[in-house]
Amino acid sequence: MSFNETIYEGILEGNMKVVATATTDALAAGVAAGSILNEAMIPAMAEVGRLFEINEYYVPELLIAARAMKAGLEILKPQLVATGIEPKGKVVVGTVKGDLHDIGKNLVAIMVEGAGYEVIDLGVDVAPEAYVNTAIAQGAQVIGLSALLTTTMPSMKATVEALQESGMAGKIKVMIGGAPVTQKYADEIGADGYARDAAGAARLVEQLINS
Amino acid sequence: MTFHERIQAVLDGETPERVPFMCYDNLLPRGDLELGLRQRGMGLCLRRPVVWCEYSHVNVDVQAAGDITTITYHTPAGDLTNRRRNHMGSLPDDASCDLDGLVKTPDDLKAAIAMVSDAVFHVDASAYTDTVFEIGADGIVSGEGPQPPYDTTGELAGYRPGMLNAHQTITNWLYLQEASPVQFAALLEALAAQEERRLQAVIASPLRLVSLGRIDGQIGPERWRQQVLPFYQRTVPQLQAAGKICSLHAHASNLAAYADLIGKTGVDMVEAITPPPRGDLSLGEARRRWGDKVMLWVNVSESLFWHGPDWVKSYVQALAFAGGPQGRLIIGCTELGTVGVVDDETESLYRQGYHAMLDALGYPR
Repeated sequence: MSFNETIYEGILEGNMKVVATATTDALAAGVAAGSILNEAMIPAMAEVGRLFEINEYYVPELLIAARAMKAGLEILKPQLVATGIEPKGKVVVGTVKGDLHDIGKNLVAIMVEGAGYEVIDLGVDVAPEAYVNTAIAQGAQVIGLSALLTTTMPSMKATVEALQESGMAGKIKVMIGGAPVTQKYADEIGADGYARDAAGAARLVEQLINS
Repeated sequence: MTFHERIQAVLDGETPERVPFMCYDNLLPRGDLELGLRQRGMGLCLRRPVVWCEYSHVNVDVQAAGDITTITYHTPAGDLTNRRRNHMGSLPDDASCDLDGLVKTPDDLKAAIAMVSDAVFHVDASAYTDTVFEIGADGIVSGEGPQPPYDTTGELAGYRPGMLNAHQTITNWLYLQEASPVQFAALLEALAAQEERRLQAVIASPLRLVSLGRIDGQIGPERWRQQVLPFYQRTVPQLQAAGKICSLHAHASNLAAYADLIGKTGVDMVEAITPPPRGDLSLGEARRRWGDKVMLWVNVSESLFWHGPDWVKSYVQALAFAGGPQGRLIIGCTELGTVGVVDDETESLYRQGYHAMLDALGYPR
């Protein structure tokens, strides 16, 4: 089995030690950091996302796989920086104003990062202006809004409106998600996209950036 | 029929004249909305304890600093601590939240086993019987039964569905299982013995509607089958033999993946089932998988109120039709109620949404 295959399998199995060792060994053997990232780690997390979407993987498997990838990525990062390999794009994520729940937002951050994007995580209880100002300042292409409480859903609408007022609507896309949120609601408030789960969010980022 | 007669008919397997509409009482604060709904026929489900737990060898210290309360449990095998943040504003869980669990590292498992092993349960149903008397015809009272040991290990690690820092605590819980499998298995064993003691106390109590754990959809059906299902298969027949009605709270939005497993639990009621568009298991499919005898208490997610009262009315009418036998169906809200509603526009939307549900079920204005 090649180093990249070992890393790929290690991430799917959530085996942190295997991934860290194989990444170290691969670099020592001269495998390019970009190859490890693009041919092993990102495809592995995409497969984790696929398995999550078809209900073969659940939150535990996803978290353990992400931990394994992070272990390898930490070793890879200095090489990625040295060789000038940059993320595919920037995404600002956060849980909306008035809502302090974090698990959905964190799963989205994991999957989007695993797909090769830089994630700027604003945390929880994030005001509409904070999303918009950060996205503009950081040059992000997508803002991801998460909510668990039904009563905080209007903050999603307020964020869409804040982006429109900034004149950046269309250039920066807004995607929404969370247990009470539906595609119908996304359409009603003028969001650019809705994702039912974290894996769907990662795919949606790809679509929004490439659309 | 009064609400109580209606719900009693459902619990007894008979057919009421209308589908009962019932919500958890803590989700609808006393006020004109709740009163108006109750006058139209809504009933409340109140939850009260029937047993209390005594720890003879565990001492508790409580310290408060700023908005953080730290509780330390001194067990014979070491200390366990838990931090709680207070004054969280208009949020669920009484405006406070746990910041972490008692078991943070594998080193805490020994003390947790000691504490669990020390727990003794006594029947005290006074709060339950008082509430049954006080609520009269306007509601029913349920109570907590034994809980699945595996779920309790999650709670000890700080993970509870819907809690604020769920990501950190569920991660902690997973790492505990991986890092210390032998001690973790010992904790499960101690919890199984603890829940057996609780079971005997609940059986001896007057409680009729017993709540047994929950499915939040996070851990996946395979892990649930291995770790949780055996608890139900062991516990439910004992409670049913004692004349109790067993209910499983299943609010997961991905419930379809668990549907066959729920059928194997033997529970009498599946509570908080949330059909599409919020969840992925339709009532028709639930009936097909579980049969006509299982009572379904259907949650209408408040998020649907955003679609307007006419939409809600049509939706609830369709649910009542799809739910099958009227004698085995309850509709209501089991999620957040009016928690977090702070502005007039949302309040108006919620008010219209609740009344639209009663309209749909044929309750007179």
